Amino acid sequence: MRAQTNIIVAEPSGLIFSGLVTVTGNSGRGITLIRAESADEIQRLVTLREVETVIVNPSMVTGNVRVIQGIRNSSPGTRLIALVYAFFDENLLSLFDARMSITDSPEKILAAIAGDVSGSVSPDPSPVSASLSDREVEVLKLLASGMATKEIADVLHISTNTVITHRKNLSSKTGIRSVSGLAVYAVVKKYINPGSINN
Amino acid sequence: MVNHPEKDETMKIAVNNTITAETRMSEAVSDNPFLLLLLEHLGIGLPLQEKSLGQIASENSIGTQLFLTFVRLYGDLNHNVEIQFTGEEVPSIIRYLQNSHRYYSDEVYPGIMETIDRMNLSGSSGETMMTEKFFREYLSEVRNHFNYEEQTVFPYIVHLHEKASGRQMTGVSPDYSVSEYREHHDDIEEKLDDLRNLLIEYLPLKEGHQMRRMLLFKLYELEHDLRIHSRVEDHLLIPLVASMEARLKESE
Repeated sequence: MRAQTNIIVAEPSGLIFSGLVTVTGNSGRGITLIRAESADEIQRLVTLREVETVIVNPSMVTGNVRVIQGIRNSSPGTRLIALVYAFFDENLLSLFDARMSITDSPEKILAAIAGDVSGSVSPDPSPVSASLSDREVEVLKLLASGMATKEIADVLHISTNTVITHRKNLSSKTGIRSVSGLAVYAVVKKYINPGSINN
Repeated sequence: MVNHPEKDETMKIAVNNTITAETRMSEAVSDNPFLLLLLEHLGIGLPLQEKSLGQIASENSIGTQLFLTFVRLYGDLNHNVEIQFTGEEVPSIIRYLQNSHRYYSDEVYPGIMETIDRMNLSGSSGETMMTEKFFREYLSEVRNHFNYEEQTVFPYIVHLHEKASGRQMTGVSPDYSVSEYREHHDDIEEKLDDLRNLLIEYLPLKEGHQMRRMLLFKLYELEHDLRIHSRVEDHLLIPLVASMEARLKESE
């Protein structure tokens, strides 16, 4: 981690935000938490400064998933962590890079923030394939969820040609060419849950 | 018939070079057991006695050149098909393709499905369920492809053959051309490759490792025969039909 790390936290509960401040403040890792009050504010803050990590309560983006794509576009390197303490649709959660829960130990929460995915609390964690880029994983998740190339292009605000390029790279890296084969791959690699695949 | 050996092709091409109309069929089968499938697809039964390839071909009303081409394709997928089509090859090729469809649908696919089911029984997980779903999707695509060939392409080719050989057909000439078949010719090998790669590289299994191995062997057999099947369609059927179409057009 860098000497000073800014993390944006979009969490409606003041109590839980204070808990995160305590956990990160006690870590001695020089983490500064910036609170975002709304989905739009996350995007504004992300464009203002270099942010490595954004922690989001998914309820703040429910019905407004485009915000996530907006963050991805304006700040491609930023990791998005879902702070989960209620039930959310798996399709929504699959858009995040990692998950943490308020019942996690401080160590687990800090590990998730540090980008140590194996320490995060996704339901059945497995090592993230080193060879796939973040963007390729995003495209993989959307492909596996049943979206067509054009829809993926719209959601990610990229051209269909770029989606096709990502798709080709996915196939050459995994050795799997068909969409349904890639969906199986995404489940095996725990990028998505089997239940989140539409027919 | 001329072979064009590539540098990396070893045994198979050597066997192919020695195969002639005089070769004993039983010896060819001993060298390459996959020829048993060829014989089955052409409707030729065992035992083979001491018969040569040429004898087997003429007894079963298959042109010797065509039969040798089939045998060589089974020995080497990249065998360069050089054949002067007369049009009389049509019934044998159609019979071969129809019988191989039957072999896949009635024997191979149910066998693979059963092995996947047994793999699931020995330890079902999200991943193995997905694998089953994946194979079912593949099956429905393959069935569509086979149905299209059986109901549209083959009747058209038989019609064309009868017309070319002077036997008048009743009914209207189907409004169709083999160029459409070329466009419609789906690549059904892609998903099988994917299934193999998923099984070898990615699919975690707590139990059922023996089933995985059995499944991979079944897939290997299927892939081998399907590849030859595609070659027969691309290098025999399509050029043959295109030449018949051209000839009929000239005479009209």
